[in-house]
Amino acid sequence: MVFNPLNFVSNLYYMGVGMACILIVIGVIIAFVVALQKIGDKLAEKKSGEEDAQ
Amino acid sequence: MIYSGEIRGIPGNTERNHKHTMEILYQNLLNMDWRYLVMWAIGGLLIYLAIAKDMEPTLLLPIGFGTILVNLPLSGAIGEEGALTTLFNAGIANELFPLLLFIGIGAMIDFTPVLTNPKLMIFGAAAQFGIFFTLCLASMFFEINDAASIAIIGAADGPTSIVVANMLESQYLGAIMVAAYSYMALVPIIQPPVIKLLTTRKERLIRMDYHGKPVSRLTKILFPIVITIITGLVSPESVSLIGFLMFGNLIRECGVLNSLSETAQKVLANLVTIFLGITIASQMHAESFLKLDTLLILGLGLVAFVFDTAGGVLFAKLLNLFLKEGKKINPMIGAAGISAFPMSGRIVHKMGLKEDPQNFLLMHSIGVNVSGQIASVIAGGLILQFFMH
Repeated sequence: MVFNPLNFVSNLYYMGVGMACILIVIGVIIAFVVALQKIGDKLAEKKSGEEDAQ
Repeated sequence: MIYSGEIRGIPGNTERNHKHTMEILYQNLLNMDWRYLVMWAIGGLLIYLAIAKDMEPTLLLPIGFGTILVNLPLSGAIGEEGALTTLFNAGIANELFPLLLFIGIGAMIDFTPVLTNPKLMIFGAAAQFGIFFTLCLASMFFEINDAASIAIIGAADGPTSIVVANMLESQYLGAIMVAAYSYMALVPIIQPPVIKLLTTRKERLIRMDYHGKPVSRLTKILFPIVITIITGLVSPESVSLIGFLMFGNLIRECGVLNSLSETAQKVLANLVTIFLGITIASQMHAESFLKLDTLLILGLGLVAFVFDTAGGVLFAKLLNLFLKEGKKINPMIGAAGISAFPMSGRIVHKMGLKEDPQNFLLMHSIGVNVSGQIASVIAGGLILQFFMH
């Protein structure tokens, strides 16, 4: 084990890229879920509309 | 007792053989080392915490017993033909056990709270900050593969820690495992002071409305499939981790495999857990465990948990700066983004009730908590992506 404080600074790059990647991936997943919910709501509305018409 | 000299009919050899037998009996005692006694004490402590304090008993008990097992002088449980070494090679060196356990965990998780309010997932991402902060901190003391493996303790997720540490060929697997599972059990002690330190009472009193919406079956079925695809595209190394977790969830949500889902949740998860704990203990040999490094790893693991909690809480506070009154978020829910499921979600809910008995944060905090499970696996995959090659 060797103490090298400069490694903290040099690895800050991974902190920035890592957190950015996670936030982006989660952002994409959120967008997908929101879209899926909207599609699901529309399909449900359409279905209930058809049932009412019958 | 029959001595070999008598069998051979050589009376002169009887005394010598008697001495030889006694030598065999105490020879092993001569191999005794004070470090073994320390490891027995550690094993005993883990068993005590599991039984008396109910701290992650499913894992700490097997690890504790296994620690004693491998720290007997010339233990036959480890070594080239040792049973635990065989189990390690068959189930952990190739990541099989943790991945099988992930099927069970996936089958246990209900993602409905997060599907109802998907925005909560952002806190799961923010609460992975501790992993990357610890990576920087640990890199000051350890080689980068070990530092990354230590950092992933902050994932608060045993299987992810095992897979990452193993794939990065860390020499500290035993210490990392003990730290990961111990701190997961200590979440009720670690998180509340950090949350209180970073929030005002006014913030802790913020009420959040919950509008429960029905989630369609199609959404629940597509969710695990799409998560696997999205995560796999960004971080191919995490495909097995996220894939097995989401496969378990798909079994649960598809509605046609209830029997398999129940088996995955109970039988499979329990069976793998039995072997996982005791096999991990094969890495808890005195020579490799009783080092200053181990204490440092335990300290860094704590840092990871603290900064995960802080990351989630501070991110919520940051968002509140841009939100109107009445739409503000109780920053405590950010802390649930640490993936220790469901403990972390429950702690936040209890803390909310303690401040205001009418403030029910459970659905929000559990939503953030399950998001943390996904985000921690993504973080594990990214760490592998960064450092495996």
